[in-house]
Amino acid sequence: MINFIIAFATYDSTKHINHAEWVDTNDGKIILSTIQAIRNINTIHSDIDKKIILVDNTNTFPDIELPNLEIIKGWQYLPEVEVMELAKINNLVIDNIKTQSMWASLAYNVGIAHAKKDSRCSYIILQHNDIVYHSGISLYDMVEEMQERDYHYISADFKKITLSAYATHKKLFDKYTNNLKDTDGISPLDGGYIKSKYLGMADCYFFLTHKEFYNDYKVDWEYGDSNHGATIKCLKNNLNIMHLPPFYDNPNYSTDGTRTYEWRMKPFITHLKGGFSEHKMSSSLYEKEFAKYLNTLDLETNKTKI
Amino acid sequence: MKGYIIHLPKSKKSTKSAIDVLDSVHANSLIKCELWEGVDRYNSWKMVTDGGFGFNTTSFGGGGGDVAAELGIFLSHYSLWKRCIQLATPIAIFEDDIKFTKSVNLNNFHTIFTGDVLNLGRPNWGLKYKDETECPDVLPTDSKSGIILRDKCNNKHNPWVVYDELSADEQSELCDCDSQWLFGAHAYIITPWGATKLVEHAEEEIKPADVFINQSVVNIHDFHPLAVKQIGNGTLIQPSLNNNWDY
Repeated sequence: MINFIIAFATYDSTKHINHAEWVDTNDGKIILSTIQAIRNINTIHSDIDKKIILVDNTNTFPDIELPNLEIIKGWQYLPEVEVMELAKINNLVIDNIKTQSMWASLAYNVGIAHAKKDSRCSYIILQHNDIVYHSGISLYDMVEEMQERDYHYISADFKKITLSAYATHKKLFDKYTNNLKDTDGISPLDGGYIKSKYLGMADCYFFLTHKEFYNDYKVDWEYGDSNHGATIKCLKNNLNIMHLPPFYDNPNYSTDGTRTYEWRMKPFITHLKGGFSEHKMSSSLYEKEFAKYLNTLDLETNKTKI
Repeated sequence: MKGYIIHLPKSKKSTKSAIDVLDSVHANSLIKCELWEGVDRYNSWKMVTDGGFGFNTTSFGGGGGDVAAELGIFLSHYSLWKRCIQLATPIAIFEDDIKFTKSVNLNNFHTIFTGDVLNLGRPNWGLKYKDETECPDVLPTDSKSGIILRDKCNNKHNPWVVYDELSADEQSELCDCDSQWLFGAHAYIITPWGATKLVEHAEEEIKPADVFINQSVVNIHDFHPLAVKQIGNGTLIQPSLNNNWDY
């Protein structure tokens, strides 16, 4: 069985939500598109034995039932004292409650712990709630390729290494770049990044692994964004990995910006992009981009409603 | 003819307003009206997912609208379309924030009307029928009289954009008239055959009620001059998230 784990959050200044300093979101639009994203999984991957775990990080997702869906609570809405206590019990370090990537990573870890309790779970997909799967690609084929080629994960994109991540973990990145000699140096653009086509990071846009991957790993936020630690783990242990192109979040590669990732040269997923896109789904500045994403989502999902 | 006023019983504002509507309907028509419990924003997500409705996701929440309330409004109208089919007779549907500005005579309605939807209402915003570019207080159509099938406009429309804020290029691609949809959806009569078309169309995908009742699905007639005004001062069936929900 494959367990899909989706993190969910909205922001409402009238409720207690840690790290909710940003503007309030249009919760309804986010809920609607998340429900459609869940239906999209059920429609496109109807042949897959699956469970969809939605981790409601801010306690704002409605109490609904959809096929294969299980809703569990994340931690972001809990009082800080309680979060600290839970982190301690789960052997996690809460270093800065204002880090959005930390709350997202914690949500995934809550989902992973829940998924692993189910003995039927064999593979886990971490994904954002602003992802559309396109028809025509079977996840069973992807899993088969993982097994054949001994990939320890398949992740969408190959994200740049930021200057701040490099500065914080210089010794580590120097080791894998031969003290930057195997790179073209550092670019000051985009907030600063290492100019290398050969070193990039995973995220949770779409991240497929065997559940045992998490026996010695928790989704991290240490290297600049969520789940970069998965790549570090594989580098350290010399494990095979696969990153799905094009690499939109790596300026070392030129792309058309459409944010449709491919597998075997075929469209696999389209990503709205922007954290979990809470603000893209709420702000009039992104109305056209959001509408384009929703049209794609509806087109793929309404073919067969499930 | 039977009529129903959609309201939210838990809301004092909605209930009070609906009782005023009841008085207005009975004073200005022979429609025998009663209150009909609508679906509020707190129940709409579950009802819409349990019902297996597909969404047209771009159509909800336009202009920062409350999606949960929009879904509730759709479900309220939907429940009355089913009621119409069940009764096998035309019914009048009103939202809880309307007022008759003149009396209407619907005598012999059953024998004279064979269409799907008859609109009685004039929205509280500028209305443009086909080929009109202005929204005058007195509509050209106000001089008309009786039941008239509305012209279809085959241009491309997008009811969710603010037309005046579009670029000239974008405006040239879109028509700003309201003729394709049941603007406001606050006062209309539906026939069982019209209701059947809408219920069947809802099995494909749903949109906000007023846009869903569209000439691509049903034929829309207007009863000129439009006798029912949408008050819209807080539109109680669709209160905004921050200032109108009173429970």
